[in-house]
Amino acid sequence: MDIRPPFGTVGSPYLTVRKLGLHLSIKINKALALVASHLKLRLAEAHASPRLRDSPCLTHCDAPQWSPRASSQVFAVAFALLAAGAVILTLNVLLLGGHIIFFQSLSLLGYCLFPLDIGALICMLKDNVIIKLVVVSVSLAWSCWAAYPFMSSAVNPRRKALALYPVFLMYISVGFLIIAID
Amino acid sequence: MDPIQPPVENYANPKTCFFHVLFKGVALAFYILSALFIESFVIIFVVTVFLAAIDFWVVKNVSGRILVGLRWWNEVNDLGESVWKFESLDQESLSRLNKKDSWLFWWSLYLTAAAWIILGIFSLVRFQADYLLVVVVCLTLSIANIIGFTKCSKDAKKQFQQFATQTIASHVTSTISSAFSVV
Repeated sequence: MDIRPPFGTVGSPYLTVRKLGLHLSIKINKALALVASHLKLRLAEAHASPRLRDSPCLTHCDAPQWSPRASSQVFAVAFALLAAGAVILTLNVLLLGGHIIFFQSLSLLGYCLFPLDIGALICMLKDNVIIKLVVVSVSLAWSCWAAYPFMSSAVNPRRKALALYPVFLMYISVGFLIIAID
Repeated sequence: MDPIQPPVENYANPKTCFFHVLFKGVALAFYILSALFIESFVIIFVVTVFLAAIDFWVVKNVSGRILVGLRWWNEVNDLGESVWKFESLDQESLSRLNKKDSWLFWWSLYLTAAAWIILGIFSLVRFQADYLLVVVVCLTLSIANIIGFTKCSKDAKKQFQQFATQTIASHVTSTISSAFSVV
């Protein structure tokens, strides 16, 4: 309906409709702005700890801070993931009929984690998600490239992929930890 | 050797005995007391595990050799396989070792492992998975040393078997006699 009311005097019905239209558009704009700001905050919270998501902190919070409880959980999770992962990966190669020495493999998987450590350090300095993605991808590729010769030479060639896939998976999960955590 | 009472003679290697007990004690004490004045779990984890690792090294490389004349290690042989080696001094040198030293060596190993098990049970009951992780790491190191040194001590193996059969035998006979006395 395209009613273009002429400039009416105060009190005329056309002006009332136009005022309503203005009010409506202002309201819609306000609502959209509110949704946009909530969305931004939600995205920011998704990078932070799961505990902070529970708190009803949408419009008046500062950037999410780490609680000591959450950082200890992250540390324990990372430690347990890497320790258990290294043991399980070594057992995997042994069960595939490969020839490796248990402790040598544990040490090597630890050493090959070093590029991801550097990546994590760099990500700590810069908070931008794009930079984090790039840095983590590069260091992940480097780690996998480093672990590849050792792991592939330990098993017979037909089972190479079976031995290598879990190694890459573990390093990818460490990469996710680095990206997802502020 | 009476397993309950320490022998009467003096320590032959007091400094080694001191270091043998020192790092175990500091690791346990730090873990137990740190909750009172340290907020950061990461610090507690790192310091406790570091102390436990130092203790593992001291026991395996220094006090095991000096106090009880035993050593164990891992090698990679020419075929590329890993081989575990367990060695002890010859019988004559073993008998010349100080009894008090070896009593202290073994009892501190067992008591430390028992203490870590108890602390692990506490953290299980409180559902503290991250403290349980610390306990598991320290317990692994303690048990590794106990297994390693027990394997290379035939004497300790014999004593442990005797103790176990004695305990089980006395337990069984006392249970049976009490059962019959009730009837």
